[in-house]
Amino acid sequence: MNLLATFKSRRVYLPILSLLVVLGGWELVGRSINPLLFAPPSSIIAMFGELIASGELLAAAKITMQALFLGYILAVIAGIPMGVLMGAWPRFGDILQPYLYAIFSTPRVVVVPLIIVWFGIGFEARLFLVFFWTAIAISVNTAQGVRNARPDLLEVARSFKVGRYQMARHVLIPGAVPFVISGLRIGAERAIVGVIIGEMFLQIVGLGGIITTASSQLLPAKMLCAVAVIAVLGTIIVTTLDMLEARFQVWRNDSN
Amino acid sequence: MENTHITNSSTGTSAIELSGIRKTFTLSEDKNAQQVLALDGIDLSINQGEFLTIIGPSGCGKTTLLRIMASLILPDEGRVIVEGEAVSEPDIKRAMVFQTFGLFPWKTVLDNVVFPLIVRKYPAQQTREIAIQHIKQVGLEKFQNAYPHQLSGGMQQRVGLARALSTGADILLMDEPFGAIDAQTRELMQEELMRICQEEQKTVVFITHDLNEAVMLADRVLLMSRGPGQVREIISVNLPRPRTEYDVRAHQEFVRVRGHLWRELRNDLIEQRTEEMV
Ligand SMILES: Nc1ncnc2c1ncn2[C@@H]1O[C@H](COP(=O)(O)OP(=O)(O)O)[C@@H](O)[C@H]1O
Ligand SMILES: [Mg+2]
Repeated sequence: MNLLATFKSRRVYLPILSLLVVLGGWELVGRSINPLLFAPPSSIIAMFGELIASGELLAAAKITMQALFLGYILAVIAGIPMGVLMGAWPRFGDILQPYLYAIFSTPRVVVVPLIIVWFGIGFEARLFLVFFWTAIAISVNTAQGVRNARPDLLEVARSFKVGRYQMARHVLIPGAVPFVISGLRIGAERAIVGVIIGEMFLQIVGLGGIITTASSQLLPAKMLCAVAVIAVLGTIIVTTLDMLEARFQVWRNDSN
Repeated sequence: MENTHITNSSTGTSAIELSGIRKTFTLSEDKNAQQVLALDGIDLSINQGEFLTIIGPSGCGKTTLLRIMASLILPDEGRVIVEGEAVSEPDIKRAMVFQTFGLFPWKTVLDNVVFPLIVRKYPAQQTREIAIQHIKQVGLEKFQNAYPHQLSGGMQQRVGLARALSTGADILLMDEPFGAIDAQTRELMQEELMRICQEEQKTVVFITHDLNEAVMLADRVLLMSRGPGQVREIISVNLPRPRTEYDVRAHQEFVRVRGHLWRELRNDLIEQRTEEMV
């Protein structure tokens, strides 16, 4: 009866109801359309089982995750110190910022030919596609956070004669944490798009590769399986960032 | 005027000596921007172990003067001498206590108090012990692991005080430290501050806009006037220590000094207004 009560609460039954309606509608419409063009949930689930059994999906996800996570971690390692430098040394930031903004707002497919020339079409090229744009997102946001440091706290630190390194470590970076985290979020989106672009336009591998080949073989169910795994990867990163944010914000007024 | 400019030469070198201090601010980065003369011709000698309070109309340059004493800014002209040495950078002989507390919101009470010690290469255990000792001194031992936002204003300023004390500085520079604290807590903190500073023989420069506070705490009160900021008068307060608010208020000396300062401040404000009207 407890279960029934939970189900009766609107927050539970409405989403479930909506999911059933959408999946049902999708199934109905999907069955009535040419299977070369569209796939109903039932055939996606069947395809998912096949792809898992053959090991194809896991192998592809592994390739995607390697470039994605390595590129992302390198971007964090490079992006945060870079951002601190740009923020703490405004002239340096002012010189660099226009280029970073220009690169950041250029669609990445446009630079694909250049990347082929520089890095070839393999792992390094995909790593670069993830790393570079993610590092820009993180560094630009970190720099903004550092430049927004509270002047009164800078004066406090100065009055105690702290050095540059300690100023960064104890004052600038902690104060910039909310900005850094928003950079990490924007960077995560950039990283996922980057790795998929690499797999669809450079070397046809990984989850992006499955999408490209499946769509040319007119296998929409297979394509959608890859899309679903990509969505799951994105959710994992965003959830991790949420946890990180909660952990860093214990000192915030809204906590406890 | 017989009470002005008393300097006690018996204690040897002054804690802080200012001579010919002049400071102008430019209001923007523009070349022909408007200039403000914040301080002009400040000469002052503060004795070791002395409690000097500074009072004056707002905008007269009190904070600027204190920041110059802390070497947070440099004067355009004039010299700052601390314990016999000319200074141009902050050092561990002087510690500031800030009006808005200046605590790092991301650090616990303990970490805030440890902060000034991280620049000195003490072992971590030792800095912790020093910090805890000063947290106890201001009565916050139960709140070591709290974050500033969990504390009241009065408690936050106790942390600010503990942090300044933990540096071991002989000289405390305090800019309206109790200005944002409710009246009853303030009285308590005044008494604690006097007790601690007497025990530890600190030299204190204490800015306030509260006449009672200025007289209550001080060995000498420095009255500033504005436009440009200058020393108008320095008055000695000959009240016995230890003092408590309750005893001192009715004391003849308290009433005399307070009355005198009040008239001077009032005259200053009236002069200012007539000048503005002309
Ligand atoms: N950083 C600054 N830039 C420009 N003007 C300033 C600056 N600091 C202080 N001033 C000016 O100097 C004068 C004295 O200010 P301040 O020392 O803060 O006075 P007080 O603390 O007595 O209220 C004021 O006119 C103020 O506007
Ligand atoms: Mg002030």
